[in-house]
Amino acid sequence: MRHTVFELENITHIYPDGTLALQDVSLKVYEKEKVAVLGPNGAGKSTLLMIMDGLIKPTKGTVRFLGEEVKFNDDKFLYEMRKKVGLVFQDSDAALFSSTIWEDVIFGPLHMGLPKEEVIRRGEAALQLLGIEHLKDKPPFQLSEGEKRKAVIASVLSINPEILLLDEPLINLDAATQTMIVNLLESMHKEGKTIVTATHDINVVPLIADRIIVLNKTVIGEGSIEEVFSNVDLMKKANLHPPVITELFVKLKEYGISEPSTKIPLTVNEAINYILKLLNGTSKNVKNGKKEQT
Amino acid sequence: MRRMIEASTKEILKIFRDTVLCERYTNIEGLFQRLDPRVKFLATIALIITAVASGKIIIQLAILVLTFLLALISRISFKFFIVRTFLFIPLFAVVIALPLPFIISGEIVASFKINGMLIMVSREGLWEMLIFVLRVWACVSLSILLILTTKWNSLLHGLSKLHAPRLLIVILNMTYRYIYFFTDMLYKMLIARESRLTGPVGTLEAIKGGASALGSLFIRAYEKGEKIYLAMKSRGYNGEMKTMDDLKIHKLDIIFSVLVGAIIVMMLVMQMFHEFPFPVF
Repeated sequence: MRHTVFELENITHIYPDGTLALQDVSLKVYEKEKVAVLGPNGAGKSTLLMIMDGLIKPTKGTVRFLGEEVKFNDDKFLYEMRKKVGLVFQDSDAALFSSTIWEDVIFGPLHMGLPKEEVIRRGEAALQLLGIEHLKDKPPFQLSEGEKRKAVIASVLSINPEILLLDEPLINLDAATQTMIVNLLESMHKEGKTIVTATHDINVVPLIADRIIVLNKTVIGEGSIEEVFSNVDLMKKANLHPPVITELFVKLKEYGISEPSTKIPLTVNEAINYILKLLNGTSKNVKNGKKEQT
Repeated sequence: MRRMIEASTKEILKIFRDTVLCERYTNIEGLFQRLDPRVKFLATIALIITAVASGKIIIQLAILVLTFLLALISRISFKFFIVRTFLFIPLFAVVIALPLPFIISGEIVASFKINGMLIMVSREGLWEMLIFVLRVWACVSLSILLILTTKWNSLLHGLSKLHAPRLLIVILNMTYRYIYFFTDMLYKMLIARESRLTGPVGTLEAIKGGASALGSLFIRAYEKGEKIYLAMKSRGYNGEMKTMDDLKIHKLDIIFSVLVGAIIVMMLVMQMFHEFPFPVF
């Protein structure tokens, strides 16, 4: 049985200016899963992640972390929780608040009270993992957007959290940086980390998640990627369009061109396999753009 | 004039961003950089108090010379330091002190009439103005020297070791983080504005634009400030600033403290007993 990492019950949050961010949100995040919180702009995704990190106390509702109710007024509880949960903020400029990248990367381990040697080891390992050792002594404002994002991720990974919360981690990044971060998240997941990614970019969801929670102020649907993407009404309700590939194959299915029982392709590689299977009944696996006979 | 103000604002922001916020001089091997932040802080405060308490020009000059010497030994370029420190003087001190020669009574050294009104300049007033400007210059130079040569985190760490109130440290820390974004944001806004200018802008229009930009800047800074605090909290910040520095008082710190202490005592003695040729001087 999978353990629940986060359990949110009837979470409502209204900002002091009266903006309703979340309404009656109830959801569960299980250990070692890759889940995407998908929703349009202003759906409350960032607020949700900040509530999960104990940074914002919801107006109503309860949050359970590893079975224990989150005590938003208990700093000791929150500090202990944040040793296990790392939040990658969308706004890199706000997340990089130190004068150099190195100071930002070691900020977390240092404030966890780790010994100096361990702080240095973690900081260096995080920089190396993201391939940004050369940026160590640079001030954040001298970095490109992609470099800043890598630095923000490094500054969270140095805490070595079991659960990673990522707010639009791939937004405004070039393809190479996107691929690098996707691969990194995949390897983190393989190491056993739980990964929750909030995004409005539907095309990246199949790359970073196995399950989707569709959010638009409240949870309007959830399920596997295929279930969610092929649910046209749900996608419309969330002001989202399924990825072009998925949309194409859903239409083909409607026209009876594909086998109804076959899984709808979600990525280019899956689509190639699907087409090859349709055309000549042979099965070839396509991985990372390279084909391999099976 | 408008162009000059715009260019200066941009230049000041650029300098501030590229030197102070980059902590460029903190990594250079110089005297002040090698001192314990607590020693540096206490010495700076002691010298500032001496400058503020003294009414003698010679004391102000002595403190200024000492500060410039310390800056030189700390391997800060003389030109850089004098420009950065003097930048604030005409901006604030001179403007504030300007009325002094006209309002302080004493020996009249010059007089002139404006619209039939007799305006007189007194010698004592001129001296007071000079003392005020030198005092501000000395205090600003000392503060800039401390900031240029000390990593902000180390300074806060030092303050916390000196048992400064935690709330003060939190406020100082947050202020520094916000200044960073405030400066960066304002600089970017000025650049963005300039990139969209395709012709000359009238002064009134420029003032209106500036006011609107300032309003927008405050709102954005407020929002950003909130996010910075949350980002810090999410990475374990609990109001106490931790650094990698193990603060230890070395021989150099003791020698420096004794020297500064001796200089201050000497200045006080000079102030108390020495008869200067001029009553104010």
